[in-house]
Amino acid sequence: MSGIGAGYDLSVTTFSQEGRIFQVEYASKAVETRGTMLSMRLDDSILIATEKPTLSKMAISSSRRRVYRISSHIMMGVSGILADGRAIVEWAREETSRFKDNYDRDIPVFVLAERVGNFMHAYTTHPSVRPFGTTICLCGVTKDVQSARASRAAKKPDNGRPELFQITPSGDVNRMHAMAVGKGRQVARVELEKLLPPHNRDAFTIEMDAQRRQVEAARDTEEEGEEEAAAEKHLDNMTLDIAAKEAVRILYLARDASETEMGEIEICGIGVGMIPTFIPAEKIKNLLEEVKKEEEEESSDDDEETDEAELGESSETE
Amino acid sequence: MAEPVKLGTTIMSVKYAGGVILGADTRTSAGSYVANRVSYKISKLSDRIYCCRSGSAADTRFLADVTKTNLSMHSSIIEEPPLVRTAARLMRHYTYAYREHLSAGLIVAGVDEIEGPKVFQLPSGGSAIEIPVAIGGSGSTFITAFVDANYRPDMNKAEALQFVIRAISHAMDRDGSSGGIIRTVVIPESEDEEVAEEWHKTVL
Amino acid sequence: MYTLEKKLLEEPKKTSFTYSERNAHLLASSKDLKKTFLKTGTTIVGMIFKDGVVLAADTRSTVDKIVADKNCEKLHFISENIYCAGAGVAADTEHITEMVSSRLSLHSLRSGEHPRVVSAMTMLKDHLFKHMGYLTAALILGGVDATGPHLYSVWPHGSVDCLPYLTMGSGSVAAMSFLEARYEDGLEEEAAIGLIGDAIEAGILNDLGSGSNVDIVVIKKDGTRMMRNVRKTGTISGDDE
Repeated sequence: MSGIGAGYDLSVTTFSQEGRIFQVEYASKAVETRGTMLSMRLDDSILIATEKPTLSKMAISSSRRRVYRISSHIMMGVSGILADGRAIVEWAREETSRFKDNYDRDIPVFVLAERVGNFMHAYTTHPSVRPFGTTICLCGVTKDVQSARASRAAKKPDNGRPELFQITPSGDVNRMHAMAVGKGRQVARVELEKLLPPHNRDAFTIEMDAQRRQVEAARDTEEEGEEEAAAEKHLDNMTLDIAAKEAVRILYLARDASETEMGEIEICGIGVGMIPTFIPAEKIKNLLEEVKKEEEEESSDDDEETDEAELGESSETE
Repeated sequence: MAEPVKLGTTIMSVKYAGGVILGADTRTSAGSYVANRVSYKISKLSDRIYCCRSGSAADTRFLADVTKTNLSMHSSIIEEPPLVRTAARLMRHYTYAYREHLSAGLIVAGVDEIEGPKVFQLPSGGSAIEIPVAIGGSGSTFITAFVDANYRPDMNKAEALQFVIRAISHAMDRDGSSGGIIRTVVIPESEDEEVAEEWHKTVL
Repeated sequence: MYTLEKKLLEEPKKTSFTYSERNAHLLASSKDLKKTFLKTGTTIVGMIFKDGVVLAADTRSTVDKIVADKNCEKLHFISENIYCAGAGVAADTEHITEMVSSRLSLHSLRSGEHPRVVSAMTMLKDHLFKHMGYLTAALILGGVDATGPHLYSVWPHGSVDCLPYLTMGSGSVAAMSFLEARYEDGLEEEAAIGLIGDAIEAGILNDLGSGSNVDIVVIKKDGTRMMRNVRKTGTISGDDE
């Protein structure tokens, strides 16, 4: 009975004296200690990338998938305990197809996210069950009035807009630009924050920004060259291919340095007019090689830079 | 008295360039007796979705009421106005499940921001088909050829309204179970234009 | 003695199907005992006038062609401000109006508001729709509530019409002829009572199922006036009740 829980951590139906439910917090720990998973919402697509530790040399590489197709417009990434996640995947698939049967339209992603949240929350209120040891990454394309208006304004066919949700073991649902969970989440989050778009934008500001970028790009090429324009890379102006490489880079940076080898990387994308699609393992391998090379060069550059800076500093003091 | 109240009817709905129009006569009969000569056979399901009812008055009112309730709950869940196809699907759910017990021929029509103007015909038996112009009820048999000959999808609002009034007038003239006046509901696609519920005299 | 009756005397305590056998036998051997309902072949009328709603009915109830009650009441109490005229099977109209009356009073207590006519109408039509026409109750519901005067006809299958003047029952065609000829918007109370009396009288005189006296109820914002036997059209003079 001693220790942190002090007897309050045996059941989800009992609050501790500080108002905490330890079993739910422990479920989050089950996520924190397992492989890194990240997701990025781009302008018209989303991707999920995970690093899966190699279980055995004898396991076939594509086994133990962590990203699942829920329907042609929704996919789900499962972090933490895979088997727990699969139960949710199955339930979400049924819910999605039931919605389509009942209402003759695709379920809006936020509706499914809230329902998955309710489903997971139910497992934090009963004595005979344990919470799910997984944080869900739910992404998809929602075709609604908002996307219809935006595409009408842009004079394009309406194929919907991407949405990304994070659902924790407690049943919390959050709408995200990007997310990272698992072992390497700290490093990954720092990297992802660098990629956040300048501000939350609506259709009007997107249009204004595009005009501004055009003007700036024209001026930059005249004045300072391409470097400045390239530096502005963020979630809203990346293509899926560039984002995939960026995801590999982040997973590489967030890798467990104590392991000799990185685990297998799995990336799945979904987009406006594109069903959930896995990026081939061969391509990911190549991306990883590229990233490794670039990072090694970068670090050697950094070393040189620091040397110079130190030199500069010392010369200043002199 | 034991004779159930029937909407021996002429109902129709057309898509025009910029919206949909629903039309119906106003005669409700119980056997050979006219139980109501100014009835409403067009029911509201949501702000911009309506339905025309033919068959048993009790059954179709029930269907319209439950569909309206379910549609508004669905609308709260998805946090935006419903699609016309969703209204048709909800109604079809009931017409199919209780097809042995119901006597109902319905037309669901309206506009939504995502798919624009839509017309669905739900004949008795529980099917649902999307078509540009739908006619139903006992009076519709007399105007099939008229509708085939005169319907154009590019009609403007005034032309389409005139077309609906003429078609229903012809049906009311030939069908003993149709009569009274003509009620119409015009649902424009544009948010700025109001939905117009009107009535007209026959034009023959 | 009939053998089944003997059997009945011999083993009277046991549960058995003897009675059903006997009933089947009696039914087969006698035409007079066929199942019949007490039906109110009826004329009922409802009308909106200047200050409220007026409902009226005849008072004859029949079993086939025999008059079972010469002065029955077909204007049923729903609440102080709502009444309902019933045609069809007497048991069904009485039962359903009593049920709605009690449910409406409970609803009114819970909500703390005076009962509304739409609420009564919804309860009636939901109940009738649920029973798919097997309850033979054709009703004219009228009343005055916070939102003004209301008049509805509710049909056995659960459909509803909302009109300024309505007739139902076997004498409805005769009664309707009077209303179509003389009804106008905003009638004075006396004129309305006169017209509705004439309409019921037309039913009493021209329809076999309707007869005896005229009952009228006048519902206004400031109160309800129930008038039994306003006219004794179909009663032999001196023959009370």
